[in-house]
Amino acid sequence: MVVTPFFLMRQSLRASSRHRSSHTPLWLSSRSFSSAPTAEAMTALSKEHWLGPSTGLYKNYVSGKFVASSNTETFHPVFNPATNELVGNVPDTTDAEFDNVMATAQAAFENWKKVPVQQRQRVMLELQQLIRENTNELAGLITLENGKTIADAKGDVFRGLEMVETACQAAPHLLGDSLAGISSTIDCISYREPLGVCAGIGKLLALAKNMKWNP
Amino acid sequence: MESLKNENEKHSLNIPSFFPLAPFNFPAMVPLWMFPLACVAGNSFVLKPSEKTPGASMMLADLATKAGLPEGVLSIVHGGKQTVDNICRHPTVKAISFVGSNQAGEYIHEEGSRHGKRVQANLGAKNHACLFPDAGREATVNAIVGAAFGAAGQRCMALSTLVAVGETKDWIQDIVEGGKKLKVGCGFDAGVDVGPLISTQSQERVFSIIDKAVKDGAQIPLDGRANGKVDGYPHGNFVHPTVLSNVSTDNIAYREEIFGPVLVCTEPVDTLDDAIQLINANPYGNGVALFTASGAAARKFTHEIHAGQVGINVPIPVPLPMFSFTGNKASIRGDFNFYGPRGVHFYTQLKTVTTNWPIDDSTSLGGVIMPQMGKNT
Repeated sequence: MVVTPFFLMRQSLRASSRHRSSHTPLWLSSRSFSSAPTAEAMTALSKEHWLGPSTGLYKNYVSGKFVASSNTETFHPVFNPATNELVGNVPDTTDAEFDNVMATAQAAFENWKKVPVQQRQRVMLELQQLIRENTNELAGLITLENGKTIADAKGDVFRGLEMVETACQAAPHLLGDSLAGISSTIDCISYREPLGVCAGIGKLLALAKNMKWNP
Repeated sequence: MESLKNENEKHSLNIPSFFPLAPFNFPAMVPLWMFPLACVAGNSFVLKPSEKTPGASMMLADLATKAGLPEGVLSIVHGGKQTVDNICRHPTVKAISFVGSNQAGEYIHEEGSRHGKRVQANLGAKNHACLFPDAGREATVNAIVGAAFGAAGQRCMALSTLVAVGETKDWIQDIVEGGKKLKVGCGFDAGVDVGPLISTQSQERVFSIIDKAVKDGAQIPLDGRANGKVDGYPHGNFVHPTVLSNVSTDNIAYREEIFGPVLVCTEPVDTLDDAIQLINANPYGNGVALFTASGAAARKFTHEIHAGQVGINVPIPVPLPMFSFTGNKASIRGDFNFYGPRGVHFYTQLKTVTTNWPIDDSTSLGGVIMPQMGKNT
């Protein structure tokens, strides 16, 4: 269940009264506003939601939901390094599923880029709070899959948390430049705009095994 | 659900360079280097987590949605080479961030660039600690022990190599004693200092590098192979702290990023100039640390060393988020650094708008000649 924080609900009301409902941002209108956040709802989901209890397969995350890949044939095992017990299996996302994720990410971008940067920063403000509240759970997952000590795993989370804290005040780095009067009635402004869909890649076992490389 | 060491999972050990490295080592921090800045700048983000440590990414995605990130702004796609190739080639993707090994990162940089995408990649490392004789011996030794063996050496900024200047070669014995005191075990257990390596293959690779290094002439004052077992965890991927000394620069232990709790001490050098020359000759240039009480030595070292991140009496100088992660030489690909102002610039592009608002609507708005707005009139 998707829970909308209070600040977004307030924003949506302001947006609708000022611009009429037809101008409410699409990304807001598609969300549920019926329930307020509770302490229970703000706690991270338990593992069963994203690691299929029957299949042992990690799920993809698409349109705000954990979705199982249709590929149950090829996957990568995740072991607890202290015991070598199997934690779960990471599937190879199919090409069709990948294309679908690209389409949802592009559609989300078209709306998200129109959200004022102050509101985007406020999401990061909420996120840093949630990461702090869930540090123990995050650290436990890290120790389970990576093996590092709990204290070190908390350090891993903390150094990431500091990144989110900085993202709460990213607007000054998004400023462009301006120069007035480059001719009698001509001014010049540059804006710093988002790119679109960006991607991040973690470790690659299969790639490294299959690659041609001359040492 | 239980599967003990799977024979089919073992790699051939004659290709240690192929073995993938980070970022399974920072399952929370590395994704958080990426998507918060990308998203706050107005982008949507697709994350392919490490297939060894996906759990923290799953939980962070859930938390981001709970924090108010709209559906679809952050997605997770799992997979291996097929997924990576899709990311590098799909026309929708505009930029790719990668942290990991040189083999994978150089491939992603080339393949992504070929398809018109921005790519930033933080790659391999061989981080040197340089000991200068005027440094405080005990504090320096403790810092080296922590930075070499902490997280079982599986940090891209681990201090994995030591260059002793002059009499500091005698301090290696103190480091050996410090390494012996560390408790190796399961990360969930109290009092444990050093956890297991990420995989059986990783453990075997580290053992094979140590074997080869000793065979090729390195000394081994602290051997973590002999007692590689831990009570209660007979199947864990443990390697105890290991110190190799008098390691020549052509030894496999010096050439490879070991990614285990192994401190490689080079053949001692006589002067700071010798140390700088040795470190600068290494193909990697991620981090470096000098331990000294001399401002003049520190300044000389800082200005002459070829490394992206320099610590003076700081063992692991990973920059805070208001700065950027600044690799050097073979440790980086791409023109934009991770996080900080440069990170924001990676995830954004400039659009320049020129406007003309004449008072008099009879003013010419342009003719056949190239506009020369700055020409003297």
